[in-house]
Amino acid sequence: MEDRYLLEKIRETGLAMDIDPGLKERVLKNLARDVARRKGFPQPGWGQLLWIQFSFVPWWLWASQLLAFGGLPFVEFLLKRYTAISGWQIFPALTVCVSAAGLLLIRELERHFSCRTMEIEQSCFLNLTQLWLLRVCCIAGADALALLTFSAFRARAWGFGFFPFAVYVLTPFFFSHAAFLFLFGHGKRGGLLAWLGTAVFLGACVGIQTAFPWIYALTWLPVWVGLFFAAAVCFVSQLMALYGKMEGEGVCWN
Amino acid sequence: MKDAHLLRLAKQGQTQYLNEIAARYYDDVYRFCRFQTGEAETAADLTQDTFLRFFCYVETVRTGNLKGFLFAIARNVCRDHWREKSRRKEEPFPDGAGTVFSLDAEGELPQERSETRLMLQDALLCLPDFQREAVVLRYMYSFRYHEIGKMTGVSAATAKSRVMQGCKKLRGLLGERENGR
Amino acid sequence: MLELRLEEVTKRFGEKIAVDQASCRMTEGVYGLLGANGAGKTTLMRLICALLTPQSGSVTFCGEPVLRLGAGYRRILGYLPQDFGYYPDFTAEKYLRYLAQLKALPASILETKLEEIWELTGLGEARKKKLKTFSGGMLRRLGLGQAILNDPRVLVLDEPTSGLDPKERIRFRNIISAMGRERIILLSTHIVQDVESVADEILLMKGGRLSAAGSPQQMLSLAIGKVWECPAEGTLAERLMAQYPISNIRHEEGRLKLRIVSGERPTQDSVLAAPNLEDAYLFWQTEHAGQMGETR
Repeated sequence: MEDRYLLEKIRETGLAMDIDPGLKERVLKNLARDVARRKGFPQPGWGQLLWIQFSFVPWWLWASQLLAFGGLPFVEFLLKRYTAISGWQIFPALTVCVSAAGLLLIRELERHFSCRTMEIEQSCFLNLTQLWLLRVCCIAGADALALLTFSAFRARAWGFGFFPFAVYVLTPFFFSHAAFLFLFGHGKRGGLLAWLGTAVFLGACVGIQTAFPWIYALTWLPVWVGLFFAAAVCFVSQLMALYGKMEGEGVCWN
Repeated sequence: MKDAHLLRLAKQGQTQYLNEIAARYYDDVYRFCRFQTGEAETAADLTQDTFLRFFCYVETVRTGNLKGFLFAIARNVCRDHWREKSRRKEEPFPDGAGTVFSLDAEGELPQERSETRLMLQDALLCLPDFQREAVVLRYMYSFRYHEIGKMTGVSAATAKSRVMQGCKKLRGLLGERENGR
Repeated sequence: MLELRLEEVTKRFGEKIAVDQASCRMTEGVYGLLGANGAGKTTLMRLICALLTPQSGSVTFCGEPVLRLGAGYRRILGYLPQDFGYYPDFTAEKYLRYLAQLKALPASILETKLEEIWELTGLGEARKKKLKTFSGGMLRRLGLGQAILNDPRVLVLDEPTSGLDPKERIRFRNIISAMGRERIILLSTHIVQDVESVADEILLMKGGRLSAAGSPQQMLSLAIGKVWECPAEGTLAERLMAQYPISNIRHEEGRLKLRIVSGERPTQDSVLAAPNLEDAYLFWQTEHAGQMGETR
C-alpha cells in the first residue's frame, strides 16, 4: 500500500533538486585524483584460488592420498593372499584403512598450528579457514571417489553387490572423518587426549564390526543406509561447526 | 555497460572504471544526501565521502546490487556526519527551509508547487533519520523493503514499518504546515 | 581517506577482560601503541585484524565493520604477529611466495615486489636459505616483509622491534618512514624509544583500557619540569625509589644518579632535566592512573 501523494511529492522534490555542475565537477575531480593514486589489485578468480590451494598441498599428503587410491587394492591383495578371511571380514580392515586416511588429513590441518603460522595465514586474503576447508573438501572428496572406484571393482570378489559394499565402506569413512574433525576442534590440538580419543573410537568401530558380523546381512542394509546418511550429515555439520569456530575465534585460542 | 560488468572490471584492478561508477551514480547519491542533510554543499561533500569509502573497499563488494551498496554507504556516511556534528555540539539539524532550497532556481514551475517541495524537504528533515532514509529509499528510489532492510541492517518488516511510520508522520507534518499557512 | 575506528570494543576471555571499552579513531599516519606486557595490546591488534570477535563494540574500517568486510579487508591488511612460526623446510623466498599467493598478489607484480622487499629488509642474500637457519632478528625482518607484501592500507605490527639489534632497529624505523603517509600503521611496543621518532600519535594501553595521548611532542611537553636528576646514596636512594617513579638509574663518578618523574622537587640537590618520551610515558602513567580509558 503506497501513499501516492507522498510518492509523487518526493519524486518531484528529488528530481527538482538542481545538481550544481560546479560542485559535481569538483567532486568528480577529487575522486579521479583518489582513483589515480589507487593501485588496483585484480581479484583472483575461482580457478586461480583452487590452483593456489593445490600448489601448496605438501607432497606427502598427495603421497598419502595416492596410497588411498593405490594402497587399498594392495592391502586387499595381502589379506586375500596371506589370510583366510573372507566375506564381511574385509570390513574391519577397510575401516582401519579409511580412518588412517582421515588421520593423515587432520595431521595436515594441524601443521598450521604446530608451526604457529596460523595467525599470519588467517590474516591473509585467502585465510586459513578457507584454506583448509577447501583442502578437506578436495581431499575427502578424492578419497570417497577412490573408495567408490574400489567398491565398483572389488565388491564381487568379497561376495557383495556394489551398493551394499560401498555403503559398508563409506559409512565408517564419513563417521571417522566427522569424529576426527570433532576431536580436532575440541581437543587441544596434537594433545594426548585427542589421540587417545581417536584410538578409542577406532577400536570401538573395529570391535563392533568383528563382534557382530551379522550386521552385514542384507536385512540390515536399510539401517546401514540410514547410518550412512547420518554419517554424512555428521561430517558436514562438523565441518560447518569448525568453520564457524575458526572464523570467530579459532585461531587465537588463548 | 551493465553495473555488474563495471563492478567486475573495477574489482579486477582496472581502477579507471571507478570514475565511471562515480559519474554514473553521482546524481542519485547526491540527491539522497541532499534529502538527508538539506544543504547542497554538505550533500556534495558527503557524496564525495561516499565514493571515497566505496573505493576503499570496492574489492570487498560481493553483491550484484551496486546501487544498493552505494546507498548503504551513503546512509552510513550521512549518519556519521550527524554524529560528528552533534559531537561538535553544533545545532543538531539544519533549520530554516530558506537555506534548504536557496539554490533551486526552477522558475518555470508554479510557485505553489515549488513551495510544497520546499515544505516536504523541510518536513522530511523533521523525521528521525532512520525513518527519513527508509522513506527516501522507498519513494525516491523504489527500493524493495528487503533491500532497504539489508542496506540499513534491519529486517524487511522493520524497514516497511519505518516507511509506514515515516509516511504517517510526514502526512501529519505536511497537514500541519498547510493548516498553519 | 582511510579511517579505522574502534568503538567501545570489549573482549573478555572467560573472567579476564583483555580489552575494556577501547575507543579510538585512526586515519593515515603512524600510531604507536605503548603499554606494558599484558596490557591487552596483542588482543587489541587481533581485534583490529578481525582475528577475534569482540563481545561488544565494533571495529570499523571506513565505516564498515571489519568482520563484515571479511576477505576484502584482509586484502588491504598487513599483519605481523608478535609470535609467529614458519614451515622449517621453507626458504625465505618460498615463504614469501606462499604468503603472496594467500594474499592473492597478482603474479605480474610479484617479482618487483619481492625485489623491493629484499631491498628493504636486507635479506636478499639469505633468500635461498632455509628458515630454520634464520636468526630471531632475520625472522622478524622477514615477518615485516610479508606484512608489507600486499602494499597494505592498514598495517598492524605487534612488537615489530623485539629481538632486533640496534642496527636493525634503525633499519626498521627507516622502513616505516619509507612506507609513507598514505596508510594507517599501528605498531605496538613496550619500548618507548621505538616509537619516539616514527609515531605521529601515541596510544597508551593499560589494563585493557586505551587512551590517545597525542603526538610524542605533546606528550613530552606535558612532562617538562617534571623530570629530575638526583644524586643519591644508600638508604636515600632506596627511599626515593619507593616513593617516586624512576625512569632511569645510572652510575656517575661512583655515585648513583636517579632520574625521577615527579611534580615536586624530590631532594634539595635535584636538578631539572629535559624529558624524553620514556619519562613522559612514566609521567603520563602516574597522572592518569585513575582515569585510563578516557579518550579524546
